[in-house]
Amino acid sequence: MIKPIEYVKPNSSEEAVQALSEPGSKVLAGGTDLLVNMRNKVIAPEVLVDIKGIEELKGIRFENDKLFIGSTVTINELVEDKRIAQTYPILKEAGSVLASYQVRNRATVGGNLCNASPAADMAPPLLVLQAKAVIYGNDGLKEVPLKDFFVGVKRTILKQNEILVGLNVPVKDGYGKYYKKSRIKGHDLSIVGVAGWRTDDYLYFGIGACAVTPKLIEVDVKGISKQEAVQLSKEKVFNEIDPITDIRATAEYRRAMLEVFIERIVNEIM
Amino acid sequence: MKKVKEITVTVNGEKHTVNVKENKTLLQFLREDLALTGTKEGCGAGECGACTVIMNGKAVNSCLVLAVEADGAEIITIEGITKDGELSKIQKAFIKHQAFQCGFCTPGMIMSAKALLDRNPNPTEEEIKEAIAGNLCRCTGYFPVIDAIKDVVEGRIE
Repeated sequence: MIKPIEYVKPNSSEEAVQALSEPGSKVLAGGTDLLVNMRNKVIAPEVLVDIKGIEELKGIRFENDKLFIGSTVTINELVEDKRIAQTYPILKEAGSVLASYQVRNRATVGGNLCNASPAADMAPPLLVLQAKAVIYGNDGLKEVPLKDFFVGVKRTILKQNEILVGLNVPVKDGYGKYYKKSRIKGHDLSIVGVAGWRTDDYLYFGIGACAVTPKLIEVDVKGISKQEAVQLSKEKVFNEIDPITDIRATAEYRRAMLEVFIERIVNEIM
Repeated sequence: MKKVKEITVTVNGEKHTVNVKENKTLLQFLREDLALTGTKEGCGAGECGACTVIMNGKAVNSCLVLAVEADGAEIITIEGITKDGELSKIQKAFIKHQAFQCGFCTPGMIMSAKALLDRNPNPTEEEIKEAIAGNLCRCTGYFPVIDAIKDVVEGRIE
């Protein structure tokens, strides 16, 4: 049973920010994590601010050289968008393995990021695509690189009265892949999630579930062979990432799977 | 602080304008306020799919939706897919294939199948599996369920 709450549904970002200035208030987007946490009494907000009625937080738009993904776009809206499938199949790959079909009909892209689980499936691909978080608060709009958005387990740079409007993703040529390992196929949190992206001279890796936040790692592969790139990528990743043992897997298993995924991705995208 | 809100929601074609507690889930609203107890609560955490209903054409876990969020929405539950006392094709196929034993997961399973067939009348086996991956069955297993849905797809159910 969820304890009594007040529910408000603002029509604009300004109204949302105002409502969120009240202590004890919390953003409600898809609710697929929030309502479970409220039911389990992990959190107990007094006011839920439903942001699904705000126009500027909706929709997927390709504008000139960038792609905008509204924060309240559901995972299935993203997965089923034909232009996304053509331009950035990596987003579709990651979205398709996030939880179950029913959850994907409610869970939002913004919620997956703001929830800031180290294992969030949308973070690795959006990191390698150099997405920027568009944030609205009392000072108006600002853009922050997604790699600077996460600050800890379940923590982002968002202040109490700030909301994520969406993501700006630069549209650039490249090719990528997302691999996820979980205990069962589909419908489970990642043990390891790795997104890889190749541009002319660089490989980018977005790593989930192996550190306190999802991590972005850049590897300069100009003029080196595929074999060397695999080695260099592993070195770079393990310089920055030292996975831990938790309920889902041991540190050793995570390291082993990271190596497998890095090798597989480099071989596929280089 | 007001904790009750008026909502208008259409359930199985019938429009309801009612006051609901703001902390009530759509699942509780359907079962307790409308006495539509076909929709089941299993885990209450979006894992098992027993509470699956169709909201604005999409399969959702009704335990993860607040009733107030359904304001203006159109909901279909398991009670809404039987026409004039005649079972739907999916229901008939489930009976033909004995796709349930205890039956607790069945309403959710059928609603996921209906949402799938509504958006894609000709799904592949992979698409069928994807659509019901969020519906857990602990006694029958999934093969009879998949066979039942395939029978509907391939027109073998009158």
